[in-house]
Amino acid sequence: MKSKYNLLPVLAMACLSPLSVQAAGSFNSFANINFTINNLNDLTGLDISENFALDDTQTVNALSGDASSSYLFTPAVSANNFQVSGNADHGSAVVSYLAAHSIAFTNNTVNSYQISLTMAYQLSASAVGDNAESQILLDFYNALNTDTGQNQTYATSVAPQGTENVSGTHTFSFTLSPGQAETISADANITGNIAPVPLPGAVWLFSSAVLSGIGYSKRRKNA
Amino acid sequence: MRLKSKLFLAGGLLITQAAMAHGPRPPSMIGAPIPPVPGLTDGADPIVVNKAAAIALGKALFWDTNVGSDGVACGTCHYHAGADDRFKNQLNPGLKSNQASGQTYQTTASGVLGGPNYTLTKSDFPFHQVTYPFEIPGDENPVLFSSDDVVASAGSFSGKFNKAERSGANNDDCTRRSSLEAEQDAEDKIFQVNNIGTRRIEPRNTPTVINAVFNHRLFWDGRANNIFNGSSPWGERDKRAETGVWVKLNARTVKKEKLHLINSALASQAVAPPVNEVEMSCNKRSFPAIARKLLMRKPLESQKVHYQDSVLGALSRSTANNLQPGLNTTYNALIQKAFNQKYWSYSRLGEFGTPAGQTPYTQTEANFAMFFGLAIQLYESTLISDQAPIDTSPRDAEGYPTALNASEKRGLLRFIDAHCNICHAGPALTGASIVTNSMMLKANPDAFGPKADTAGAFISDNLVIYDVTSNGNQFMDYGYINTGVANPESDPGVAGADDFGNPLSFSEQYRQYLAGNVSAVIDPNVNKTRSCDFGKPLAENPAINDGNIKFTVADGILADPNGNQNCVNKAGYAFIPTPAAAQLELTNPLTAKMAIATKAAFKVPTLRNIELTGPYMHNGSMSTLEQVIEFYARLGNIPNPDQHGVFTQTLISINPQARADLLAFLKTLTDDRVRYEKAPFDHPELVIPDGHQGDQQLVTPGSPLGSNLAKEEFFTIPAVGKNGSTDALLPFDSQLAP
Repeated sequence: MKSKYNLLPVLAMACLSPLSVQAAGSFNSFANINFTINNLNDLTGLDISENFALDDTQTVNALSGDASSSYLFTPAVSANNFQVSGNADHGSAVVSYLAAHSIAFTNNTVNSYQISLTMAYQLSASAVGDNAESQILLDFYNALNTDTGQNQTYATSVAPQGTENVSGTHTFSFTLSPGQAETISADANITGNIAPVPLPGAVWLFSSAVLSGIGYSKRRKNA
Repeated sequence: MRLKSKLFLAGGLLITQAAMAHGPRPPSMIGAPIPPVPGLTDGADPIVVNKAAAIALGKALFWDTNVGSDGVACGTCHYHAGADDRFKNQLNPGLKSNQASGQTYQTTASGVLGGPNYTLTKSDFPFHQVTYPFEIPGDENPVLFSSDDVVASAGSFSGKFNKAERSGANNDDCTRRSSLEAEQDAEDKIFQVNNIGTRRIEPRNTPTVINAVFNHRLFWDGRANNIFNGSSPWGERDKRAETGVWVKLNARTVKKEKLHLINSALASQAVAPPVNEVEMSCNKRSFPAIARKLLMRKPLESQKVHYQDSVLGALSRSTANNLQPGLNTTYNALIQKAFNQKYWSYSRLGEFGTPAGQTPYTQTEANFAMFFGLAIQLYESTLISDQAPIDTSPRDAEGYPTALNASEKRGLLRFIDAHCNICHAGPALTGASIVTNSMMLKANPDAFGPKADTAGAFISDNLVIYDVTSNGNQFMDYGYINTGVANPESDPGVAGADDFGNPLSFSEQYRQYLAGNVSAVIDPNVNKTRSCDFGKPLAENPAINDGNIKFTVADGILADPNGNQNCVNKAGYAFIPTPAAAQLELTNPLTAKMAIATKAAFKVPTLRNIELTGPYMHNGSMSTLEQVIEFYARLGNIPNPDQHGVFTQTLISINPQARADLLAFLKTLTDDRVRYEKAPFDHPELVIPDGHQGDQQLVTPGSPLGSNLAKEEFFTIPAVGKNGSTDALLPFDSQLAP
């Protein structure tokens, strides 16, 4: 979804507005989500399948100017990694990807099984430059939403917020009777925004710095 | 000097004045209870999880010129003791009127045709002048001048909203006013000079936000509902499916729900101006669109923040010798810090709509009205001015402040014997502070002075009262009074309707409730009104016959199911008409027993800091407190059937010293922290539109905002930290040319 803007010379913008905004910025964020079945040896006979896939219905990738973005999807047995990044020097980006990670257990046996599954996650968001931000939203839940949790990170190029990196674990414990099934899911949504080039003719009208430069402002006397 | 009067208390007033005074004394505001908001910051699952962050968010949003489409912040109209003291381009022709004269500007009292970009002078006030200022209106007191124009606040240029960018300039992308009349709307045609557009003007004077937290409802007509539904001003009246907030139920499910936050009129009020096309916004701009503009930005990004700002200092990038604009965070970060994650952490898209040509709205954007409203509410709840002389003074056994000087003390007695204290009651000096006044008196029945001497309805939770007016006993919305400021046709006040056609008035709903029309009762607690707390009996007690016009046993009466215990007046008042009797009277064109006095009734304003918050009245028609005192001394400007009957002519009508004393008392209501903008009344820098280059006859086209818009003038109020400014705020009138 690329679109072109007419770009005014940056110098002209600088003359109009000492607060001129460039849009140079980048973001780079990743989510590592790993499931460990704690008692795997006791679960012979259970059908277990793991899935880690992008939910295409949730993808947004709106780029303009020279912006670019990419996502990296590395499912692996013990280190599922999902990474999204983007950058622009003279452009804008609104990017959002959602990766759905799940482990499904199906009991087609005549036995009951007690299952202990630990999910470990590490989320790291980073945004640098003039006007960029990135967020990771993580939700983890069982099929009936009776055992759920969430966490998030947020990074802005404005200043460190102290919420850029989080990690944690959650252990799901449940029993499957013969014929029962359960699916444990972890959805990771990574977004990145790089703010757009200012409109041609954009006006910093309400900055005292600008007004005193152009001579508009008069100071109200109180006495 | 000729003098006519209705009731005149002579002679005795000059003797033992303390003994004559009766009724509530304005109490100290120190410790005055803020009406509780269950579920906002408390309970098992509060909406706000970090109150300090929410207050910082609210203060930033309040002062940020990026919130408006063209540079208008909340503070643009609420910067001077919480109100507006601008005097250029502040005239509205009277657009609330149902008369033709409300569509056009009139000649001002100084003899110049008023209009957009007009500069007000001292001699333009008051807007209603009579030959004998201290005598009651009538044929023997000819009107010298009267105008239905209104002094209010300049807002937005408006225009059709197109888009607002996530970064860059202050202003939105709007298609501005056309120079072709066929393409102009009604306001375009009014707010212009020689077909060059000027900033639009509100139709009512801007009230102060300071101490607004104590009011049960807000706006002059009470339309900002006590209950906040999450996205609109209308409370429970708003049944639209789109009203409310999106709540994350689980990773894959989000649901729209309406909030029911009580005592949250501040939030209900806050969500009106940012999408109003006169006050702050281009037309058809939504809160999600405002969110899209703001979320990535630094709050106050082009406005200096004082390094000692009592709320924002720690977030600012300023140091003692170097004030910098903007905070070191983004609005997105502040929202996530302040609010429960179930309102912003839903990661899926598609449920919240998509603006044309853009990416879908997120949950955060979709809920921005709630974040905005509640953050502003929490910030404004800190704006309490409880350090005025009236507050810090000790009180004697009669409840009078002892540390005032002799003139101020006499002035308080004048305040009481002129019955100002009946409407201007309680710590905020307004009966519209229903919950606060009731809570204070229930905790301490002597809070407004010895109970025996101060009995009044303020201890009641009633939203409606039945009391005396110039036209007999009528229902009134509690705290909403017609004092005869202007022609009642010029502005209906609380007799108006909401956006759904329902009457704003609680009294109207109560009448319907009495008549058994239950579905017409749309605001909670109206049906809990207790008749035994009324000022006058509504229905005859079979055991008492005092001859007043009211529902009689023969009409059909019943004991009030809302009870007869702990009544303000008498348990004997606890009778109401039967539904059949009430219905009959409702459909009677000559109705006297069910009459309501809501036409041109307005919220009783606070008198706190009144010295600084001129001009006065809902129409800004008086520029000095002297003019206000004259107004009351002559019992108002326009006698009319809905005018409250509490007024009596007293010493202030005939004695200049009495008036001077009353004025001195009113000045004891000014908190010096407000005067000098000390914490919590400190604020960031703000550039404020101050009319347009030229005057009401000539403006210059070519504003950077649009070629058909007039070039502007501005003034800047500098960033002030917790220690305030060395310059005192001054009364409105002091800056006007003669």
